[in-house]
Amino acid sequence: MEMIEEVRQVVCGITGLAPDFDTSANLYADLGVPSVQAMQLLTELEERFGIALPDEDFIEAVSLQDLSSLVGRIKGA
Amino acid sequence: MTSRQDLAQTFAAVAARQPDRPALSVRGQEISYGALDETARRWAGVITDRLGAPARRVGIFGARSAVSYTGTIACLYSGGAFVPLNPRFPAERTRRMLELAGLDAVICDKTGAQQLEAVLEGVATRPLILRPEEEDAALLASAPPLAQLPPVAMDQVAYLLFTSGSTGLPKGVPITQANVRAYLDWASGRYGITPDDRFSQTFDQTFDLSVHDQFLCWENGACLVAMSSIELLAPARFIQRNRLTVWFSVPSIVAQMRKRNTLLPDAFPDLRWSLFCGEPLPRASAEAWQAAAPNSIVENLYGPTELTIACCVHRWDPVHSPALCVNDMVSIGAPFPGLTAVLLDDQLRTVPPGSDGELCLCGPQTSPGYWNDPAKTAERFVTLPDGPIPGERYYRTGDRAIQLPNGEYACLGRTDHQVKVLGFRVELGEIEAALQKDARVVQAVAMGWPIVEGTAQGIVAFVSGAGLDLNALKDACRASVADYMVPSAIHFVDEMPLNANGKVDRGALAQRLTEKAG
Repeated sequence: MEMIEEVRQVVCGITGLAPDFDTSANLYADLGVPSVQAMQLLTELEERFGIALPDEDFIEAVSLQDLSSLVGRIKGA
Repeated sequence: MTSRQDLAQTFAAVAARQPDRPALSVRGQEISYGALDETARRWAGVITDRLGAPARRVGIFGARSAVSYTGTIACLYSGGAFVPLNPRFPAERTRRMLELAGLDAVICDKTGAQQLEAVLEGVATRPLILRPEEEDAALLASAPPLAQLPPVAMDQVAYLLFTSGSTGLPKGVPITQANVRAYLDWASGRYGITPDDRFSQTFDQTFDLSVHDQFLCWENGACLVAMSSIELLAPARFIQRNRLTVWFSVPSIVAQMRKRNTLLPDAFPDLRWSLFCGEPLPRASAEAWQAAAPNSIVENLYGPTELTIACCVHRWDPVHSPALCVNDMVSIGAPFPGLTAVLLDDQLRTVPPGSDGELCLCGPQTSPGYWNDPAKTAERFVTLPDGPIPGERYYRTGDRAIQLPNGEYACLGRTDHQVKVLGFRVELGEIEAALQKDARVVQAVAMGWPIVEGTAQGIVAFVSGAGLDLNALKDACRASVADYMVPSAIHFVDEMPLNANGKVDRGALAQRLTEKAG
């Protein structure tokens, strides 16, 4: 499965968002994901992809697109 | 020196003196004192014009935005008390607060506006609504700025905040202009804030510690730098980029950074003051933050909403403070000058020296009492005929404390069922009441769980009854309590364990959680 779709799966699993949300939408400001879920998302992504995500980079990756790029970058590093 | 100026006059004076200095920074956008003053005067003009009189109480429905801060000043300029409302609360709760407060008007930012119709549904009297970012933008931008601010007496309410109520109804705590003036005079004297300072703003505006952020900052001409909830999850880079000089947050943010290893030595060379309040401060957090902010003085502040922001303070000293820790938690320090503390037993008598008791304080920061609730007020605000200052009103904090050899105090826990969840005050009874709305629930018991370094990470509930739908119960909670109060797990029990007094044995329930976890 493509990286972005796998990340989307994780996001939907935690936030309950419908899977067709816009990849460039701001999860927090536009889609209303609360900050408590953000930390859950961080730990779930770390576990799923076996990586350590720098917190400050994570909170700046506000869209699905950004998140997927970040995960890809860390995984590939 | 005690000035007798109300918050509006104070802000207006600073704005007149330094109109071009930045008052506020939100999402990278800076707003000057002059601009903030002028905008607030326009909104205040519309409010007083529409009401035909100065406002009494104005709701501020938003989340750390240019609108919510400007709205707070606009409310004060219109002569009213500000009543913060929080978009992270379910609509039903906000509606209840709106009704209890008897609001003349509500100013909504974008986030508040989204929830507004749900909040106003079924409300008996609809207050004046202002949406500066939506339909009212043009009206407000073109309204003439109010030239003459309505006079405000120092015994008038400055703000009205609601705290968790143990029976399910939130409790209103009014704080007067005189109460907050007393606090700000103490704080300005202690912290020596200048216009070059840059303040964090980490607390929700429904949390009274945000009043310290806003008004201590503004009355000294400094810049308030707002942070979003997301930015608060990993604040190090934000603190550095925004060159903050004053940090004020709950200790949980520090614990989170320690856990994630993002609190590095010498990370914050520009911080002069690092203040913590709202929950117990672990020794390890104080030490870690001091190492991260070597040029900063670290202080632990303590105080319930009823005593105006904070009433006791301990200055962290790497040499002497560790020995003063109790249960590895930093001392809450000594009461401010002008405040008096006592430790009382459950008969309201002063405990013998060395014993623990309920911490009670009196002084100019004491709220007049709960909003429209004389019974609750009489219960918590007491006069002590045999106390240190006879006839003076003491507020019973509900915190159990002891006095240390140096005269400072250390907190040991609560006398009741209130817990702190990540710094938020939660009455377990409020969650239990929400669960009990379902007629099939026979008994409901909520507890903070897990407890890490003296603070609850979340809530767990136990329920008994027949045919219970645990998912439906969680949904019911989401609809009536704030997000941090929704139980992370609800466990069904056939029968609640009882102690020797026939009361629910909370210890036994907690034991089950420990066993499950272990």
